[in-house]
Amino acid sequence: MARLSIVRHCVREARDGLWRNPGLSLLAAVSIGVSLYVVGLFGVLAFNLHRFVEALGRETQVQIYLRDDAVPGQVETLRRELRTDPAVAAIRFVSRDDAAERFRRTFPAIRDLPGDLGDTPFPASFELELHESARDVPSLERLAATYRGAPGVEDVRYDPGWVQRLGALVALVRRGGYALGMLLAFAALVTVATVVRLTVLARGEEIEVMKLVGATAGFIRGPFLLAAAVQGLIGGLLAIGALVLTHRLLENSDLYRANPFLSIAAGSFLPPLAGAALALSGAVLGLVGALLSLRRAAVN
Amino acid sequence: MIRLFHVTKKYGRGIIALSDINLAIEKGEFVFLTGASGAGKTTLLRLLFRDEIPTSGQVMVNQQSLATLPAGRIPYLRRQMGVVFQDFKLLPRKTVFENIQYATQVVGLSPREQRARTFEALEMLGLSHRLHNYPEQVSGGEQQRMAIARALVNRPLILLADEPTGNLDPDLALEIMGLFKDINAHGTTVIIATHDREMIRRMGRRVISLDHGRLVPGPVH
Repeated sequence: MARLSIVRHCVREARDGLWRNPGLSLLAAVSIGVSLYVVGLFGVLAFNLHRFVEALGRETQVQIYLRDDAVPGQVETLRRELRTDPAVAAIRFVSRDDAAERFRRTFPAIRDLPGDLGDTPFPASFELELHESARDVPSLERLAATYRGAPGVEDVRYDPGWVQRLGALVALVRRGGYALGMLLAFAALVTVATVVRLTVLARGEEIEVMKLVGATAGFIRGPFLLAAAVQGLIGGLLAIGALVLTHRLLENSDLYRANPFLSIAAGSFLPPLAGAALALSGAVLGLVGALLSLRRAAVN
Repeated sequence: MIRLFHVTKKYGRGIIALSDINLAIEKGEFVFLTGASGAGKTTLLRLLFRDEIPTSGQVMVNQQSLATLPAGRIPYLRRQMGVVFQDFKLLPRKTVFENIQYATQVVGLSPREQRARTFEALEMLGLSHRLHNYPEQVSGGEQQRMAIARALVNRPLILLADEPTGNLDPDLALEIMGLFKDINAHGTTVIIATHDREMIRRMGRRVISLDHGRLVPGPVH
């Protein structure tokens, strides 16, 4: 019963505290919202790039180019061997026409170039998708060595480096986002702490009375902590709302349609769990800011 | 119940508020603490509810040394006491009812108990008609009675009052003293700081006199 009474007190006092200084409450919420919005922007970018790199990593890792004079029997033998190779997860045969079509799709501005050159310059190939365990450089080298000399094979190519480099770029984006986010989060923390401090100072008389009539530190601090957590949660929700809005606006813009990079970098929104975590981290930021402030204000 | 051993309290710039105080107050006693302004009455009361700690010496309440009392236990010490402050310390944003109820809420009583105790205290102090008023809307005397009601609402073991009748007319002051006597009759130890010598004379209770932070020797200590 006593606990319930304290909870009720915390809720009522927190609510009154938030309404008493709506401007300050909004300032704290918005400052948290801005920092989480920036974290969220980088999060969306890193999430999409990561998905893109992962998809690329899953796709072709090795191309086996066939000689123009390879006979169907040689191609079939090679296909059988590849199917039974334990390193190979999937194979895809790309005919010369498929390759030309792919070129035209990827580079629409110079789509007529292969035709201008006469016969299609692209060789037929097998594109191999490898098992996770076979994506390291030694495995790739072994695979290349095995098939390079096979009948009908012109060349075997692989380049794990660019996938790794793209992965490193994603990590950099993510780290940059976190660093900037942390910087802004620190600024938000200082704002929340200042707001709580001001509130504590404004309610100094009340806190003194509470202490003198036997209130515990938890009883005094509870409403401040709850109010700060609510401010943080509001900030987190504002950030999520702004992120959704930004994403929608971007998706419907001409810029987005004209720039394929944007569809790679911001094609999908954050998964629901990450969005919820972002909103909740606002509450945590608010709590931490209030705790720091209350420690300094010595309301125990 | 209350023991002070060689208690000295100094503030900055060498101000000595209390000097080498030794005294004992037994459970259920009714004691007046008297002396001129600045004699150390308020400081002594503040030492008792651990709002201050002595520069040297020991303050014991209920066989507990207040100097070594962990911070987390201070609220529980204070819950055994009701304190009437000289400046009332009422909360301006809360009504008369809420000001009193607040003290019951702090100690974690159920809402039903909070209301019952609050009404009881308001009734006892003649404030039932002022429930919904704010402190600034009631007279000085009524504010003082609010402070007393808040001190009593949790039925404390010890009642400390700093000039509790300072703003009251003589009749009301007598009435309040009568109330303190009743509370004392129910076993509460009452310590009242006052410089109202006439009141002290009328009540005929034990008197502890302070002068410039020192106990004035005499058989009444």
